[in-house]
Amino acid sequence: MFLNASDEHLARKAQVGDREAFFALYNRYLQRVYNRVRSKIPPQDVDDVTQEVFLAVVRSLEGYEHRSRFNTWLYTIVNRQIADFYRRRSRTDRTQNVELDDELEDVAGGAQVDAADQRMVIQRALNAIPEHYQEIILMRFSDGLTFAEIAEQRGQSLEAVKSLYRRAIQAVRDHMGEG
Amino acid sequence: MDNDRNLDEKLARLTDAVLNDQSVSAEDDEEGLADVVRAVSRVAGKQAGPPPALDTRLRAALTTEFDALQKHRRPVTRFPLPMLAAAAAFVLVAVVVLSSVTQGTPINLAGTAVGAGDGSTTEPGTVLFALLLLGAVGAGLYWVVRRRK
Repeated sequence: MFLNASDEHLARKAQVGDREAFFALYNRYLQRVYNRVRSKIPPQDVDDVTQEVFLAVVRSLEGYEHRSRFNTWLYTIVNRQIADFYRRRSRTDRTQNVELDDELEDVAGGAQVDAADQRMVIQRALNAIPEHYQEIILMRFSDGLTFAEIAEQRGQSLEAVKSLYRRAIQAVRDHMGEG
Repeated sequence: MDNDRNLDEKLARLTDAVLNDQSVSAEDDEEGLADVVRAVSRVAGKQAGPPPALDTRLRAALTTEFDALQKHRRPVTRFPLPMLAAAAAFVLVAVVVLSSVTQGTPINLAGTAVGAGDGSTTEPGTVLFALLLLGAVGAGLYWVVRRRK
């Protein structure tokens, strides 16, 4: 029914109470939002944070003024919810990095360099690099966009996107080295 | 500069190969970034996607939240602004015409296609009433627009 409708058109319909339009947007973005959350949040909390993101979308939808693309607005909410998650965790007197360090030490103590270990290292590096670097990596990996599609979405040349991407990956490597 | 662009191209090719489960050529991994790309792919890449149980849970929670918000939403905001403006204009015209008719004095339409040009004028009270009504409609529209923002 809404197969060819733009995100913005669906958002307008959802804003005036069309639940089907809202769920069409949900279907379009569930996997991308989930992947983005999964790339930055410990696995045991991914489901809850994904739910918080979509609840925040429902509650904020009326305030979406169509000044930016819908996905830009949506990813702002994703980033805010991820930041809120780490803020909540830091209130428990343990910062994210301290927790990650503790968890890494636990893993190292077990002499196991496994997927969970590497996952934490990468997540910490992704969270540490500048936001425009994070964004281009997530667009390529989590959203599954090609470099040409990213260039189109960002209104940049393909060369500029590839150059930005290489600097982003180099930044991840540098932060992994620091870890 | 050309070397940078060459490296950009190689890393882009390498990334495409990793994401498509293809082998990476050593030539494309000039900077030794293949391991970083593979690691990022494992953490941030498109994989199986959200578990079905999460989808079910989310749909239920979102349906409840969406419906609850609709119940509390002000009905006036459901109408698009142009529709409200047209309705207000119609009411305004109807009230002015009706008030002039009930006072037995036709509105002066001289110079228009329908005007008789008989020199009759609109009652000052009618004009004042129309202006007040116009002001009220304008204020109402402004209030609606502000609340929508």
